[in-house]
Amino acid sequence: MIFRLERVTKLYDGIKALDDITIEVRPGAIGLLGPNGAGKSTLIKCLLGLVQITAGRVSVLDLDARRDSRRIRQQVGYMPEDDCTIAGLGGVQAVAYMGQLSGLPARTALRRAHEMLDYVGIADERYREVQTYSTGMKQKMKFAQALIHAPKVLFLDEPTTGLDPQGRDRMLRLIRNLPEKKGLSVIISTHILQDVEACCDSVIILGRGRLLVYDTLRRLRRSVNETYTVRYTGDRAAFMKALVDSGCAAQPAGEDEITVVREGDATPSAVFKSALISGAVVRQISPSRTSLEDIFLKALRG
Amino acid sequence: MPIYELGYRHWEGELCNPLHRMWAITRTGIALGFRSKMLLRLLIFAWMPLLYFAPLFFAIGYATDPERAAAGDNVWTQFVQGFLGSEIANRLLQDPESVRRAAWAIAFHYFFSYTQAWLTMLVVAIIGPPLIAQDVRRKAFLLYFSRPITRWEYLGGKASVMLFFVFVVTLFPAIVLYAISIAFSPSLSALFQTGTTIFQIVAVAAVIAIPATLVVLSLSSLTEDSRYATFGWISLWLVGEVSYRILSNIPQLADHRWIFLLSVRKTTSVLIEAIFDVVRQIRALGRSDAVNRVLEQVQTPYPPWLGLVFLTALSLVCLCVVFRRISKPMRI
Repeated sequence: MIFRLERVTKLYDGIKALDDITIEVRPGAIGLLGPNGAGKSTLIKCLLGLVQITAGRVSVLDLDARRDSRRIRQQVGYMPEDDCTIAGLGGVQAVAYMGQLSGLPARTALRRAHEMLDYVGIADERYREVQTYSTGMKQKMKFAQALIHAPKVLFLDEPTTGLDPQGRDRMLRLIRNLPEKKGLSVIISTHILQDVEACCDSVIILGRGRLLVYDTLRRLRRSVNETYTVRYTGDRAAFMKALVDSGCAAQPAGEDEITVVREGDATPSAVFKSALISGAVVRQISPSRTSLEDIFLKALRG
Repeated sequence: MPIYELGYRHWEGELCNPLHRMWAITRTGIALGFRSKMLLRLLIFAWMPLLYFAPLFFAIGYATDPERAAAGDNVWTQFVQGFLGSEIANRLLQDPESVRRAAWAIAFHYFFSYTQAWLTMLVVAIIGPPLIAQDVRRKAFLLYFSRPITRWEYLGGKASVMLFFVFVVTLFPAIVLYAISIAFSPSLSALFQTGTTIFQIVAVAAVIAIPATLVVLSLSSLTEDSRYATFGWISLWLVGEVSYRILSNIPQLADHRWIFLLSVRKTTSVLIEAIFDVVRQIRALGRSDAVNRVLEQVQTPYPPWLGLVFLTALSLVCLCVVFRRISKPMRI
């Protein structure tokens, strides 16, 4: 278990940023999705113990967030969304400084800082002042500082913001590498659904402070895969009537397409039988491929 | 398993204690502070008063030595006359040891209240304002507080940076001055007579440094642009000093005991005077024109307790402000 929320509510001036959330999140790579104001950043700050919750209980790595927030922050890494830097420090100094703040001895922190900057791909620029870095380099540096103290869990807030396509691919590869090969759990808060699809095996969707969805991507997709898209030629009304008569829920999709939701025995064979009855010709039948966007939009619509 | 991998490697080792984290903030702040060439020049300049005070202490040490006085070695007595006047110098010959304590008290009082006070104001104006303002501007709080450090440790680390630089111009030169005085004293009696001075020096340095640190940190936390904090700090000093001087020259207001509170320098000076017990030391020299002249310069009608209460209250208010400000970004 990475973290557990029990009936957690967080109010800001009477507005519910988190509304009665109960969830237990398993290790792995988890995408945290939600529109603006959904409560993603508040959730991360609650987990880090940076803000006090109004009601409920938060535990991270089996530690109580209220009582043991220092121990939690020792074991988690956080990459903020904002353009955060320490003024006047060079890249390697800044990362080493963050290591020291996490309790690493000065020499170890410097060695780890070099290792982490190698990992994220900052070369000689590490000796330049951080203020002179491009947005992409700042993102990499924030990623390096989140890793320097060898955390068990990594919270990444919009990790690919401001990166060019090549930089984004590289960043996603680095992120993906951590849970797959190094056993770290990664929680990615983002608006970019493709990033979650590329890196994560589970997804949490928040909307207006409420938990809408928490499940593995595989299961979420499978539940929607029971929908088929049928391309045909023939009389639409007759074909649809035949489908409904055979126990399928059918809806017109495109010009020559019908979406068929399987209910009971509404298998592809039922579609062929209906076509035979109605005189339509089935040109193609395929399981509807539902993207994360569909899942996301469906969750938000409720 | 690769035999070499330039990738992420886990680390498991012994962590340092929380004080080390605060020390990391302080050390980094001090290192960044020393990058300022203006500050370096000012720090060198801040030690210049030693060139004036060290020979004075040296001379007082020799002039107040009973053995030398008895032997009629009056070279140093004449030297001290230049600083303290002939009447005190004569008194020096009669009862050398009683003059030593008074002379040290007066000298340290001048050292802290005048030369070092203004230098402290300048050092604080250079170092203090960016300490928190830059973290606010660069949103560094999220980096700091996502680490296992508390707000108190952060504040302690930042305050220690400021305290260090204030001590560089107050405590450290005063201790060096004291050490020089003792080292060049012809007998150990100087050490026994002035044993409490070192504690008085530390107390005075704390009285100067703690309110200055908390005021400048609170100003720094109120703005993203450190120039405003610098302006605020200098204004507080200069406007207060000018207001005090104007109001204290108005006869109707001159007797008001609160006037000195307008000036940070004067308030501190009144406390320094009380800590070194200057007035009592001077009165112990007896009555003479020279003593009266020194007394007139040093003695004030202002109660030290009021200054202490004011500086304590100011420090506490500033502490609340700065703590609230560094907690604020987390509330979003």
